[in-house]
Amino acid sequence: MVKTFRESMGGLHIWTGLVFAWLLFFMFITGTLGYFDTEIDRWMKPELPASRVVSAVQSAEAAQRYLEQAHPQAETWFVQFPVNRATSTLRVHWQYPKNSGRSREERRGSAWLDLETGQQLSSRDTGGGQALYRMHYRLAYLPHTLAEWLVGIFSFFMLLALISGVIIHRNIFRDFFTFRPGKRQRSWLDLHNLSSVASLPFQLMITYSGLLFFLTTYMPLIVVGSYGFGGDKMNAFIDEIFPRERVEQRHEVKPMPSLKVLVADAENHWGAGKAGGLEVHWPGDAGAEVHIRGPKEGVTRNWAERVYDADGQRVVKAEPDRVPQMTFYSTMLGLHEGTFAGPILRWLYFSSGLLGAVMVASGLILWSVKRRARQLKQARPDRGFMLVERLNAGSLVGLPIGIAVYFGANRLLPLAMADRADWELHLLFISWLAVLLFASWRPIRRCWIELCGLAALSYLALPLLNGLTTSKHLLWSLSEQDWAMAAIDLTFLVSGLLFALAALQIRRYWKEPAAKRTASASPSVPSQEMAV
Amino acid sequence: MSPAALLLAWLGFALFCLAMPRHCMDILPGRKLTAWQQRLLTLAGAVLLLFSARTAIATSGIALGLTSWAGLLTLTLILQSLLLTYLPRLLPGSCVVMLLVAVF
Repeated sequence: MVKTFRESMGGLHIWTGLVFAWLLFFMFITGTLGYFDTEIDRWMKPELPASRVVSAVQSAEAAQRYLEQAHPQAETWFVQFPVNRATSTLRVHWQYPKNSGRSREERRGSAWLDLETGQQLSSRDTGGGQALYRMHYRLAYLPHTLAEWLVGIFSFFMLLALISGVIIHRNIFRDFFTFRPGKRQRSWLDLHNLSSVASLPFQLMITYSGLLFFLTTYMPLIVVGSYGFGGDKMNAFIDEIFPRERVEQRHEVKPMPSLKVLVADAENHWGAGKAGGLEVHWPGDAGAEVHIRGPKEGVTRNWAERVYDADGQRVVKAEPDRVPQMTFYSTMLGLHEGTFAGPILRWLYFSSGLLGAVMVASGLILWSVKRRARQLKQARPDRGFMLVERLNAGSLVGLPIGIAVYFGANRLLPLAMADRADWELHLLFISWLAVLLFASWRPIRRCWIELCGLAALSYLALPLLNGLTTSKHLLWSLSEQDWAMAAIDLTFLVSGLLFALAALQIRRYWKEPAAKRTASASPSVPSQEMAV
Repeated sequence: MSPAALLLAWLGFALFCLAMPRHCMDILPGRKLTAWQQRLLTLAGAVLLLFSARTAIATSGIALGLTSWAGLLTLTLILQSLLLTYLPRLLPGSCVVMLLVAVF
């Protein structure tokens, strides 16, 4: 049988899409939540004071006060200023020298500080937004290398599905704005097309750049070809592409200059609010150096830097040479992470990520809707078809339910529990597994309605649970202008309402007799259904 | 992020909608445009989109500007498609609202 190019691309798109879609959905949802990791961290640490945007100068002062008193002997201090996003704490890291007599684990550490007093703050043990977002490339319960390989293979097929999808799309321009609800297969195809065409630049960028992150894992022989085999050779390669200048200790005690003054000086040069963080090498030594990070260069991971010595005098250093390849690499990684994004662009990133999840979910549903009528005519539907239908309900709604349970566990697990943060994640997967089991025996129509209803209830319950178990309820966060906390609670409410709407629409749709359904153009499942 | 870039993208895409016979019927019932009018609208829409990109780049530099511009296009396309599906008559009104938002 001779096939046209477009037909064979169609087969490729449908089958790679189907096989890889469920894990891709997981990666899209957890990765998208990562754009609000700091805000989720804040929600999951309700003991902390109200979050604010604080100046770099003030943060530098608080950090210096704490670090000079708690870690004067460290080799490096590292401070990230919370200038761009509202947070309730300042996070500082430190590192001790190898010969400090400390074990490997004790040499590095970090602390959350009060923004004003510089006192160390403590809060409940939680995985926070970090554990959630890290799963989009590290998955869970798997060795890192295996997870990196799996994620790489899935991203590779995602890229293939995107490109083949563009090739097989018949009327990209004619159907540009088209969404026709209430027409079953046609509507799901419209939704699939609309969500992917609208966010295509984002999808191509995120998939391609995702593959670049673990470049040396996927293609180790390229490094081996130039540097040779072995860990030493790999380190030589890394030292060469990420050159690090060593600062020498002089073993002469010298009081530190005021970091606050240095940051103020740097911001005089760059403009207020532009300093992003600082690094101090050998604090309290005559050889100390303070590196202040300036604004990011465009969307790359690089930033401008101003260096000061132990006397607080500016040291002018040669600009590092940047080869075009490294600028490209850094731009791609920077675009993927979006750490440069202000609030509006961050929301745009978040919506594009959700559209990616809608794209994957609508593709999966389209696959089963397309085959449904023919399958139901058979005495027994095919096993494969049944499996897809059940996995769809169990994953597309099951994962959001699992994530709601993750947030709920943060409020309900006993505070003194051992391995509390781990159990938050265990509960996510246990509840997702329970949903999958439920979906495997319930009649499929009832199953979709009940699961959407359950998801609606769990998301609507979260702000309530927050209000009952802590004093940081929605009214508090709104009146204290703790925007990070309030935004998360409000997003839960909106997600809950969307799931409720989805449940009602599915119920209405399946109640109508089939004949009437094809005739009428009543809106069926709304496009927002999967947008959680 | 510049409101002017959003306005220009919104207007540009709205002209694209008008240039498509199927959507034009929904937005302005009873109107039928000639082939020349359609071509003119498409061209004008494309020019507005280019100006939108220019504005975004002028506001935040080439890298950040193009990144936010891509995000704006995504948002605009989704919102206008939903508008066309459920409330097509509101599309011209939405352009006026956008204009007011951008001006103030």
